[in-house]
Amino acid sequence: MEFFKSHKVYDFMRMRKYWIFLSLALTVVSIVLLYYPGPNYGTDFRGGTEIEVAFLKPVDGGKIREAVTASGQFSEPDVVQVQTKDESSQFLIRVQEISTVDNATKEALKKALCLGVEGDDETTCPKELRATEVKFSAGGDKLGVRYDSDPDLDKIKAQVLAVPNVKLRVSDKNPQIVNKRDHRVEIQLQSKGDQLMDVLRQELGADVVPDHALRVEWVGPKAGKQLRDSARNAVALSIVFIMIYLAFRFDLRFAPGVVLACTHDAVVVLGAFVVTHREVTLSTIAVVLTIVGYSMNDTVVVYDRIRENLGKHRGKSFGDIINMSVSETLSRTILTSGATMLSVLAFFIWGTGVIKDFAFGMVVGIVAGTYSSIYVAAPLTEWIDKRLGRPGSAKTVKKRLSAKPA
Amino acid sequence: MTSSQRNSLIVIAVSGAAGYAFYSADNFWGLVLSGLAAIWAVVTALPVMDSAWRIKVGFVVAVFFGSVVALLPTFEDLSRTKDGHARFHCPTYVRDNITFGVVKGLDLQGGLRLVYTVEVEEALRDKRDKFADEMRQSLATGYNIHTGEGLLKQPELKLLDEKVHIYTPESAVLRIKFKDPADVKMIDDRFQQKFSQELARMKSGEGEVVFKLRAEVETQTRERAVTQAKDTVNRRVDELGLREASVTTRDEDIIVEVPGSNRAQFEEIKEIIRKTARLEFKMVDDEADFFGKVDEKSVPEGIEIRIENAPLGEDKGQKQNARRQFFSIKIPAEVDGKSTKEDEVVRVKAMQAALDKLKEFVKTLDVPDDHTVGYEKTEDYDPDTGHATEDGWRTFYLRGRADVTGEYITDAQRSIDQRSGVPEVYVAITFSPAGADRFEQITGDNINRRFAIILDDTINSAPVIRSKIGGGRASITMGAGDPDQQLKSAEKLEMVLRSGALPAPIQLSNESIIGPTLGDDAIAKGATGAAAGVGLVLMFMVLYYRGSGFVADAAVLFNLLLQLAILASFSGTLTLPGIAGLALTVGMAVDANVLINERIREELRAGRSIRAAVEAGYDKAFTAIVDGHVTIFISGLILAQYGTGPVKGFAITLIIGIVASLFTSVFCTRLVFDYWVRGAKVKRLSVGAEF
Repeated sequence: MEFFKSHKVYDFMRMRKYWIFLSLALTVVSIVLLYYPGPNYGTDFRGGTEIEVAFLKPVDGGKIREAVTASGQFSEPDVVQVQTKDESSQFLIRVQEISTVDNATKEALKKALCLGVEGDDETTCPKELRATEVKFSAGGDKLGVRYDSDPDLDKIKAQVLAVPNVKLRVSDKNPQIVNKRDHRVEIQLQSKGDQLMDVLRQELGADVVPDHALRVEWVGPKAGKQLRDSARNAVALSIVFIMIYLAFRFDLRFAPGVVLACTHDAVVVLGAFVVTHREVTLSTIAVVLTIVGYSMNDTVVVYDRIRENLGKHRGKSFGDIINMSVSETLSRTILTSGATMLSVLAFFIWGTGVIKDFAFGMVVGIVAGTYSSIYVAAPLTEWIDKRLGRPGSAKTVKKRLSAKPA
Repeated sequence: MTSSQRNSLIVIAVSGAAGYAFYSADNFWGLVLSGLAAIWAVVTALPVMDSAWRIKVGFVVAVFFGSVVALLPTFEDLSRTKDGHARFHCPTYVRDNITFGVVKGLDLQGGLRLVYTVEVEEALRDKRDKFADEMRQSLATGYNIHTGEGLLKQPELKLLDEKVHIYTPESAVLRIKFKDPADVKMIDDRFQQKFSQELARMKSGEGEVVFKLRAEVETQTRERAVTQAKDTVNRRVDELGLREASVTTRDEDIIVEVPGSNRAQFEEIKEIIRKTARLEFKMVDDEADFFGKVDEKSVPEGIEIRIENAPLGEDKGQKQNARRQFFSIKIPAEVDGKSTKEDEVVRVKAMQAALDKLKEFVKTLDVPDDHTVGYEKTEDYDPDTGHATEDGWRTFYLRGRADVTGEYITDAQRSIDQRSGVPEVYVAITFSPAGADRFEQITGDNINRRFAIILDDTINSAPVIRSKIGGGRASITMGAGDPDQQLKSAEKLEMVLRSGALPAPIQLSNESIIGPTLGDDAIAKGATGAAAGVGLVLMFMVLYYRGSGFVADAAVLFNLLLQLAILASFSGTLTLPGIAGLALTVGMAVDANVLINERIREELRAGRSIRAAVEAGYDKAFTAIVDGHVTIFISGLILAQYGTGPVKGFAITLIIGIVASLFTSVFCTRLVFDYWVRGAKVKRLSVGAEF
């Protein structure tokens, strides 16, 4: 079997202006998208709401995922089974939505809880009900309140319910003293977690979903800015070292092309994530790393041919050499990217959730990586070559001769 | 018979004999190695091709079998269904001898989830005590009791206490009470300015001033306590070599998630994390005969009143001593005096029960808030065996303030003291310069007094200070128990002291075993996708390249096997990002073969002979393959060095895969082509096209 007949040289570089324009446009659009609206970071980076539910009947994790997604109110959830001693169906369900309590309500709550009230006037704020500290969770739906002595929980409940638009989460222990020693009380407001429970009840039936979740929590991000930065810095550093290597193996003109191509591909993949509203999670970092690796290899293979042909055909223009090299490696390029694409498409078709997003990134990345070798890396190298002059080309030889002292 | 075949026969004989010797000596790896050597030699002895080719093929075959053996236990683990039933069984002999294997990560397998609550109150109290110290010094200077330089000395403190006392009724509150109400003027603007950044002056009563930690300082202290605790837990988990464990925070909780299902490892992790490693040095207050003033009738049964000769410091160079009371409790005699392992568990329980009882009693005593009661294990020394065993607890009356804390420790090192004949295990600690100064001053000021070394709330020892201790070194002895046990606990102590103390104790509030974070259903579908993907690629290669496609496929599969074997050999963890790394290198391996085959086709097209085409194809494709591989290898190295978490997992499989790929897709496939060209002397090379 053969896809491409030999000896045919396709004129890739003729159309390069349009393609370079397309690349530029894609890159610029992607970069803009990365700032506005910005990537949709998943719970890994942003945190979210987590509920732990002990279902009354055995449920499949996939069903829960479907139920939550089907509602349209929540993002794709993380569903993790908790193994219990009695084999019951207990799950942690994490969504990235968090409840938001606006600032006016927060202030009203603080006032209702008598935060920082002093003086002997006890008409509205009896001494034992004066909060010394009120702390809202990141979402705002959970309050940590400190007192100087153990307060009366029922009275606190009344204080909170007096605030308009505030509802307490239904539970037997709400408010609850969580720390006796420093009189800390936890108050949980109705939140996304309760909404999530409602959705589950609607989709799975009230005979499966219990009345209360075991826990409703705001969870912090698993990986923060630090991880994102360290990934970015590590990639940047490795690119520097690769430039050095390529400068040695090929020559200095080739190095920037690889870097530009990799960056182009990484940015385009991230841009595609933003456009399709896919969550950027820890796995997305893995996708970007893989694509950078793939793109480098692809570019190096094309470069290798260019290097070889530069030695073989000294009289030809750099553009012709690129055309020739790309044409010669075309069947390899199509084969490799085709084969990789085949396997990634299988993932894309059969995968769900994170794995589907992963495969999506790979599909975009492989297309970009293959294309960027031809229309990003090669043209840049040609451009640099024009500026610097090729060793051995007529121009440089002349220059060298003239530089020699007569 | 050629000379090389003779050589192989010798190798076979020797490795056979060695294998038998290793087998009888029960040396597993010796047996495996000699088996592999024998396989190598057998292949080398075959009557095909030339000896250089046979040696290479023999090597490849040996590597193949070596990888298979190394992966046997992993195969069993990976084939295990959810209920723990394995579809593939690894021979027990191999299972018992191979301790390593690929561990599936938290995303693929699930694992242990621990939720700890940080007791931030402790951190607040530490901060408050620091301020109390500074205030005392400032006040003492104001009263002309103290020069204003260095720490307050014991007698100076006593003098100060006659004029003013600082009470600490709550974790964030300081109450300064003056004996003479007129002295309130000592709290002047200058005094307040010193502390105004962190402390707010509250409403004050007659002759007293109340300060409270400012809200923002309090919040900041709490937050810092949580982040520091998280960092410390992270370091400890790292020291255990668990790369894939994740540590996150939530409000005042720390969540640790550890992949796998190894219960023993889980216990170890829990033990290491739980160790607060709060190391404190506090002075024993023997001047105040606190326990002596307790009403004897109030002492419950089981707690004894004991008397000792306590050192009271020096007076004009003369060492002072006095008889002092203390309380002690013994564990029941039937528990004591036994030494089997099961008895050890009973003993630990009995010791805890005894300590609880003693603490319960001490609670009824009215201990002033600037003092605490410490507890030390008592030991029963058996002169016949030379063994000491723990048999109960005793009390010490301590000053509440820690003079030196674990913060000042820069290094910890375990070692054994053999001088007394009975080996004594201890951990030597080194203080930072600031800590060393403090330690020197305190020991200098308190000669002939007792100094309690407190680790995680129990007194490790309370030696009498004989002279000023300079140089910033101290040691913590491991106490009773058999030497192995002592060494183990010393190792743990060393580890936790080095990773830093937890700024506040943490309390395990929830522990559960969780399923894979990706979800079982997602993994099952992903596995179908992976199988389909690999299958499609393999099929495609055969369709396109025919015979050479088969060779390439074999190389790709061998590459996967080799990668997993290498990953297993250092018990690597396989996560989704790791699989991405694996997939990339499989792609690289396919690409390398595509490059070679395309080149061979090109050369054939150019009219070369089969032999020349293969030769040239490999030569020319090689530069591209090497450059591609080296480039990715470099980025793998950097990512592994500087990356964290998923980035590192990706990088490690990438590095392994790149090396394996060069080996399988260039070295191994070449051997097959060589055989076709030189051995079988084929007329047509099966590369999927006719020329």
